[in-house]
Amino acid sequence: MATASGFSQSTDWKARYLPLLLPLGLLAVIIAAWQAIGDDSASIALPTFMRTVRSFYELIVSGELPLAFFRSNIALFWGYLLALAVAIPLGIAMGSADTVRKLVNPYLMILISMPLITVLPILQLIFGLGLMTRVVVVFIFAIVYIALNTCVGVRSVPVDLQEMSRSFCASRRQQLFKVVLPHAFPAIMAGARLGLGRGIVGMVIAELFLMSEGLGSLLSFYMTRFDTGAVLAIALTMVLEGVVVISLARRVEAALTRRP
Amino acid sequence: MLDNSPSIQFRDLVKRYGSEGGGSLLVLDEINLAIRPGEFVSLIGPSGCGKTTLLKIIDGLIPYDAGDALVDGKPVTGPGPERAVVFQSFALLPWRTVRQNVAFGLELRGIKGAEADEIVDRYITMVGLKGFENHHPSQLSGGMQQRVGLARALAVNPRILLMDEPFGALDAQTRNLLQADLERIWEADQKTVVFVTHAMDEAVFLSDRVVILSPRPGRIHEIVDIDLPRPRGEEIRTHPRFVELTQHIWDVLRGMIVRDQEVSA
Repeated sequence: MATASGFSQSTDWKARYLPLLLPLGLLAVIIAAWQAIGDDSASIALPTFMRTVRSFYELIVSGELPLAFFRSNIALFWGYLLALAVAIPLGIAMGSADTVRKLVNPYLMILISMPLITVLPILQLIFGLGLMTRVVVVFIFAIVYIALNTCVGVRSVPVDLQEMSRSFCASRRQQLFKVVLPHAFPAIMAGARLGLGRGIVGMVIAELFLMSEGLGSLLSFYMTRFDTGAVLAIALTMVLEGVVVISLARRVEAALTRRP
Repeated sequence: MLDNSPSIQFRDLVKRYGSEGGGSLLVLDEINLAIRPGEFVSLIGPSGCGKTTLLKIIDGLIPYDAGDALVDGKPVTGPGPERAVVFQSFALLPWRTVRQNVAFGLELRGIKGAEADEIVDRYITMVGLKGFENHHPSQLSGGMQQRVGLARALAVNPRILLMDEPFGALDAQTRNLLQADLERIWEADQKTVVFVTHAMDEAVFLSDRVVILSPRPGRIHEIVDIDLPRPRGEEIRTHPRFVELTQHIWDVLRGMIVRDQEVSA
């Protein structure tokens, strides 16, 4: 049966299902290979896929994983919120005033290029062994891209729009809220998404290298017991969280910045 | 208007663009011009004659260096509610609908709600965009976008309309249509208009007077009185006097450009 476009029905079927089947197929191949390579007999070998899944299930049922997950993500939540609250106004200030931008830029550049792991012991000395330090780590990881993207967004307002709003006697405040910020909004959203990704990296690093009551300490605990299945399950939880959160953030960003 | 004192006046106006470490460039050299209320005046000239600069000085968007720029007898210090600009690039806010764009100037003044809606609707209809109120600029043609720009400027009811090559980015057919529309709209309340253009026929079609500026530095070369009857419809374009005036302005401009090229050769 020919469709309106002239293609046969079988081609339509392929176009609709292939984008879904291909990634799933690849995933199935990877899992099968993992299962085959894994070795559950020796405790320090790579555990099989099924062993990891079993550990994952056990950790959830015992409540250890959800509790640790919650404790770790508190740091992400507060650190990221703080980063947004500080970096967006900072980015606006940088975009609006050249002197501010020139003053702040070097420090942001340092934060981007420096391996922040090296700073962790210092932060732990200053902020102690608890949640505060992990919040600060997330904060530092997240602020850079939020501030930079906001600054770029603010600076990229077309000259003719600025002139137009001035010609209609807009005050500086009106210009900011009615022209600059709406124009910069997509850039700010992109910066927020990138900052979230960096914040998650910061959370994971803080978990692994600092004292924590969350996923990091759970990971350490099972490492000392040589329970590789549990270790892998916890590590993959962190990875999965990153993937899911980022892809959700992408969707939110796309939905909010959709222009007709 | 109660009296005939000029709406806009330039007295020995000088504008320079400074360059650090080098000599400054003289952009406008002692401009003297008086524009009466309700007059439609075009500024025409080759690139570099300062016509857009002059327009921006009237609106208070850029400062001047010497002499006077007066609006209603008072020196220009910045933009004001009695003046509104229509831009060559349209300068519409892309995230706003037509209706929201037209309402922009009113919104800045705190005019909202039913009062604003009524004004916005009136001007959208006046420029011929009824039915497109909820479209975004990206969904409109260039000519329609400029109609939005015009409606936005008219909505704040300025005494002086400043138009910076408003039809320059449009094709010839759209330009002719918009010229006719502008003429019709202007006839209704005859605001003072300063209209910057490159096109001689456009200047003659629309204006009471055409000011020809020469470049580098910008000076008034000649002021041409357009003694054509109003209102002006499409038929005026073939009127012998129209053709004569257009040809004369082109001859003057051509002379300037040729001379310019000879000097630089």
